[in-house]
Amino acid sequence: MSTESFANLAARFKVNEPDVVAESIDGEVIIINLNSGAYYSSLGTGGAIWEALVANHSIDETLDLLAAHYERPRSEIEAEVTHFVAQLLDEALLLESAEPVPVSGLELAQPASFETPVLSKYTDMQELLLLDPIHDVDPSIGWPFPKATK
Amino acid sequence: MDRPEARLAASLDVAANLAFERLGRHQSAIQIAGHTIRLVFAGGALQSQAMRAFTHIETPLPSQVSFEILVWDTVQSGVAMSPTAGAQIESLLADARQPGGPALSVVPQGVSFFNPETSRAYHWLQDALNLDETNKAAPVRLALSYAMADLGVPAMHAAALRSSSGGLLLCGSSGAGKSTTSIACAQAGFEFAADDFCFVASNNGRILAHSVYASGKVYAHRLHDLPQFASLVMNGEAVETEKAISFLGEGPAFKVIPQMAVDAVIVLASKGNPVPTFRRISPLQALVGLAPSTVLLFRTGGDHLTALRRLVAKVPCFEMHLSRDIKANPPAIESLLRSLGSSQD
Repeated sequence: MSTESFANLAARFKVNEPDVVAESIDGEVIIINLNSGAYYSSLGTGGAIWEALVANHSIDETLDLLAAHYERPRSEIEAEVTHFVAQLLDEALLLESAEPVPVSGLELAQPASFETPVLSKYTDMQELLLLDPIHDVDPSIGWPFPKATK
Repeated sequence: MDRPEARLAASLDVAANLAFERLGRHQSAIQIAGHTIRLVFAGGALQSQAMRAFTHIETPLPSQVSFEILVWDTVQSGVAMSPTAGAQIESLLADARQPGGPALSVVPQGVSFFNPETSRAYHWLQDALNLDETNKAAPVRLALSYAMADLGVPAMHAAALRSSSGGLLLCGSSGAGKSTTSIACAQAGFEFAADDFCFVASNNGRILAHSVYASGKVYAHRLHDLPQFASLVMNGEAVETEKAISFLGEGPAFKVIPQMAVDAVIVLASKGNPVPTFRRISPLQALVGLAPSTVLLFRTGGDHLTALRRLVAKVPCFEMHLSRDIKANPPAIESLLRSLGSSQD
């Protein structure tokens, strides 16, 4: 996985729907990739960043929002925030958005101290998606009985 | 009839009707969350086999139903799935794997499909006398899940139990201990609604869990700790390769209930501990514990996740670390429920 930070601070994002579904509760977020079966959670600061980004804030605006909320200089939090955004993009949970959607108002509910945002990834459910149809059928005996080996 | 789903439904109607002509059209009805569902089986053997799981929710056949499910198999009826239907299924499967795609699944033993335009679901099996443990214990599960989701009632991958102190949903990934713990609770006097699958709905501000199956499943090595369950096992010949299955409504030791109010959600986090312990968790942590398996298993997408979020936001949520002594877990759960009840008084 890339550990690069995302450099374009003017970029805006949207959830990679319909493959990805997400829900936030009290500033914490769960994200499920329905295609890969992987799912993710992020608490605290990570949940705040997610909420700001999916409310159509650019990274620039998100940094301003976080800096004001946590009362920290932007320069101190920028690297960790952009690294977190890069993770969300690497996992294909967000897509860059060119849509000129107006930024909605957002009140952050997270605790007052900024903590390194963490994206926890879980893959224990991927086996649910591994059931595959039976291919290679013999039309003479009906679908989906496999062809007899010769 | 232009849509591919409609063409597949027409092909499945032909196959099912041919099977009904050969083996008879045997109908039953069940009721879940206020919805009456007609089950139409090809042959009495298939009907009596499947209906063992539904004894507690069976209802007289009504004139109107919310939806119906046609059930037939190839080995008993001699009706093979036609290459045309097979090709239609194959061509729809790619879309069915996408969120919001057709309600269609192919698993090794058969096909489930729901056509919302006609409120008719289809459950075709290759061989109804040679079913895996899921199809034995929980017949037509995917077809039910698709049709109920269309009615706005989400499925939940969870056990559901009620004691005199309250009701709980027991969640966790496969292997977390849901089934064994729920049977241990049922044997300890809890009323039983589900061992790993139910529907959930909101009613007057309360969350209700709706039972579907009166069946439970445990690994064979647990049977010596669960003698009342063991006395009802219906697949004794197969328990070396699959879980032991019992229909709890068939024995006097268990009480199976059609629905119950949910007062707590418990996410099973670990097992094999010296004593059972609990930790209060946030609604989001509970959602992480219960939503992925539910949403991924039934492929019903973002609305489903939203419905589950509403559920966990309404009741207290806990993480449980199970004792290795499975008989120690039910009293601990009962004690937790009692403490919640007294804190609400």
